[in-house]
Amino acid sequence: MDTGVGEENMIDHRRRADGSELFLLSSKVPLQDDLGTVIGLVGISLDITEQKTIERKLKSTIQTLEETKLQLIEAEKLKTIGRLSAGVAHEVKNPLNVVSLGAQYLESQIEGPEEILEIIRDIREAVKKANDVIFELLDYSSPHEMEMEPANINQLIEHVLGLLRHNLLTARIQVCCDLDDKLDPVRLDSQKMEQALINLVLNAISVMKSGGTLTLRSSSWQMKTTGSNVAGAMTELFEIGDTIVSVEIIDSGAGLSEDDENKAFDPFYTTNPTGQGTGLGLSVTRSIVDLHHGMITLENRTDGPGAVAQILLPAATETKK
Amino acid sequence: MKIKLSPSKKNSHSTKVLVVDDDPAITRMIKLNLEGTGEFEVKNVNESPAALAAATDFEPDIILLDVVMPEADGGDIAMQLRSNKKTKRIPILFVSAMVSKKEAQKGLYRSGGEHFLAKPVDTNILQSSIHTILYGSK
Repeated sequence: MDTGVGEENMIDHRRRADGSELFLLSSKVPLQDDLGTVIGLVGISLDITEQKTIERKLKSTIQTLEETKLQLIEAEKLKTIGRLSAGVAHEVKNPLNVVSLGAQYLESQIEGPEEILEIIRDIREAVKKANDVIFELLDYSSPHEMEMEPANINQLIEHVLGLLRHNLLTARIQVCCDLDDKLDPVRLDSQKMEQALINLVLNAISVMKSGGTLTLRSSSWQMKTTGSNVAGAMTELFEIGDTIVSVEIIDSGAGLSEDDENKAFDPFYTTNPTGQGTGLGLSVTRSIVDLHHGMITLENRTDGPGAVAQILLPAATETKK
Repeated sequence: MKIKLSPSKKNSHSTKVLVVDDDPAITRMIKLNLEGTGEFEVKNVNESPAALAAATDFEPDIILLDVVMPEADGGDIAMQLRSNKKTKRIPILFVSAMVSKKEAQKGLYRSGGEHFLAKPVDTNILQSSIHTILYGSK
């Protein structure tokens, strides 16, 4: 009897009867008779399933860490853009000043024809618009304390849609507004709440990859019930009789996976490829809503494909905290 | 198409304005606009270290001072002007691009005891701001 060529430290991947995975580290040697026929096998196997599972987890953790690192770099880049915007504003405003003053001078020196005066007025109007955009950039990027005052959230929605007009057009997204014109005012920091709405609209745009419809709806109602028919968080935040203002941002994308629903508001959670978004938008949005003593939910639509982000805020008269 | 020009206004040069900004296009435009009203005589300075000498020679009623300039910024120039016997009483109006929307909407506003106006400047607001600083109101 002799031995053939054996195999050392081979990893066997098998499935147990219950379907679970089994990893074995095996070394085997075939036994041969005098004619060289294999008559048996001698081997030893070590169950390394646990080690393999830990290895996989470690690999996945390392990958998550790598992605998080890239997202942190993205977030840092955004912070840098914020810091740079003051300098950019200065560099842009000086040429704008020249154009504006030049147009004002021409307007003061020319009596006609009307077409020329019209052109000059258009130039002045264009300068004003460009200047407004710079202000938006400056105000958006500069840190500031909370400044709460009663405001109509419909105006914020309209302003946000104006700011994101270009993004919506480029993404071929149709906008439907269903805004309650008798909406109760809400005590809020307009700039921060605008940031929250911008994040939600940008998120909705990002999930409608081949265009779609974005619906923005506002409404207010009085809380009449409590208990099991009302979300737990609502009963913690609002009481019977409170007026609640609701803003819904409804997309027509593919909807949310179970993972999305559970993790959407987690910092750095994103369904976008790395480098396209920081994964901080919804997390920041929730923090902003929390600062306003409100709540935010993100769920799949019940009337078709897509998701609904809903912000609930106490009406101005109800704010007691 | 023929462009009709307005008859030029008589310049009585009642108010002397020194404009200090590193951008020659801006100072030129401010000069054209202010002198175009027939009410101002304007001298421009584009190199901030030359501001003190220009103020001493020209003896302006008011100085329009840019804030961010490469060689010496508006704050440095203001300190130099205020430590000089001949120029310390000349009012200064800072014209700045680094202004928030809220501040810009106020037109002429005060911050830290100084007068500020936002860029881009509107000639009418600039004119009325100069009046306010020099005479209390237009």
